[in-house]
Amino acid sequence: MKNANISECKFSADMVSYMYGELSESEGSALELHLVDCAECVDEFAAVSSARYEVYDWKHIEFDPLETPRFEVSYDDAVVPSWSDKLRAVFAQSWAVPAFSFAALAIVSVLVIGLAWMRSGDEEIIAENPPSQTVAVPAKDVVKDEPESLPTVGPRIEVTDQKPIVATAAKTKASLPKPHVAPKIREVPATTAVSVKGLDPKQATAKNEVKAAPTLNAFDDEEDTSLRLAELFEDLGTR
Amino acid sequence: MLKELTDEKLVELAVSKDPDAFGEIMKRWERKIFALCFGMLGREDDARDAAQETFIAAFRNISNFRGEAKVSSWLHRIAVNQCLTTKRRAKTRSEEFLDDDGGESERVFVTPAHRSPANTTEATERLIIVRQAVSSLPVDLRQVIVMKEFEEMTFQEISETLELPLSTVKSRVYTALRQLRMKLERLPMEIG
Ligand SMILES: [Zn+2]
Repeated sequence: MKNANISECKFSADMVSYMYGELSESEGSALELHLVDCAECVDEFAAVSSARYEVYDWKHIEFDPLETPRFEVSYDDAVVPSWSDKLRAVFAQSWAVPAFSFAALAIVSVLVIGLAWMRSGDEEIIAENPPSQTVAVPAKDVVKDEPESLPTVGPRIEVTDQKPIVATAAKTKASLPKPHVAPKIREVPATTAVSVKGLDPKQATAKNEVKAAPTLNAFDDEEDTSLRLAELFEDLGTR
Repeated sequence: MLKELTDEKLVELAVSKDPDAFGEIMKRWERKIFALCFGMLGREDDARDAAQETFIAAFRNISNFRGEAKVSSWLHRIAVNQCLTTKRRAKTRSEEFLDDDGGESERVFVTPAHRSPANTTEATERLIIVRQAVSSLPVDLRQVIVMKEFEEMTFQEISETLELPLSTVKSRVYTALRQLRMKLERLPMEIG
């Protein structure tokens, strides 16, 4: 089967399946037998293998060392949700509601306690519920018999009961969408820190500067034109 | 300079015992031959061995190269034959040692030689170009490539997930890889 136009060779359809190890043994043997005879298919297989290896190698060098979250696709669910759907699903989850309620409750209680403390000036309340920085309290209101040497920079904040609650609630909120959103893969400095022929010279200069000082925070978000995995997925969600 | 010569000219020089000419051929083609062997064998360590055997066989038989085919096609055929030999050997081996899989699973963890050059300029350029090539694919083609290579799904799984016929999924992956190949072919030899 030696065709000038490779797409006419009936074996070309089996090539990718063979390459990914997804042909049956008999189909595989048939293709192998054909490859021995068909120079065109051999060249075509080489071309396809080469393209595949470049993607494979790129993935392993750039993404595998970064411990990306796995992309969980439920095969029971035939529909691939878009990223916005996933986000919405996250916020619709039942545990999210109590989490937010709890956060709101915590903030309100901080305010109420702070208010009570301001009004009463009761030292016992101060001792038991030292105000957190979320409450604006004038420094002069701090316990009168406090030694002079103590800092007068506002209320004591080291043993607040409220603050950890607020912080936890805030943290919960912040971490909600994370496992479900395509991870923002930061560029590995080693892979971007070199100028590239044919690229915009301005961009190349920027990359070289990064090389000179390869610290993570040296990356300017606006200068970083690299593709992130998230961008690869960006428009894939909707069908 | 050797770099500027055609493959065919390099073979000519290699036949006339120019010691550097074959080295230049290897440098140009080793990555593609490795990729072909990887496509045939599915394992990097096997592919590396087969690629090495390919160049040894090519060097030994270089005087048989007649020039009616391209050097690349000639190397491809040697590589495919080498891989088929490797497969036959592996099959015989596994039939002889049916219950011995210990060594097999250990070999997966061998660090492949093609895995480390992220620090070289050439490898960095390649990564950037591959990244651009993949991101410039049409959405439907990029989607199947991401599912195949990044999520490591089977064709069947992709077909079920996207509710597309299996044949459509296969032809999309095939088309995506062919388009990538064309985009990557504009690279200098030793990079592409
Ligand atoms: Zn054919």
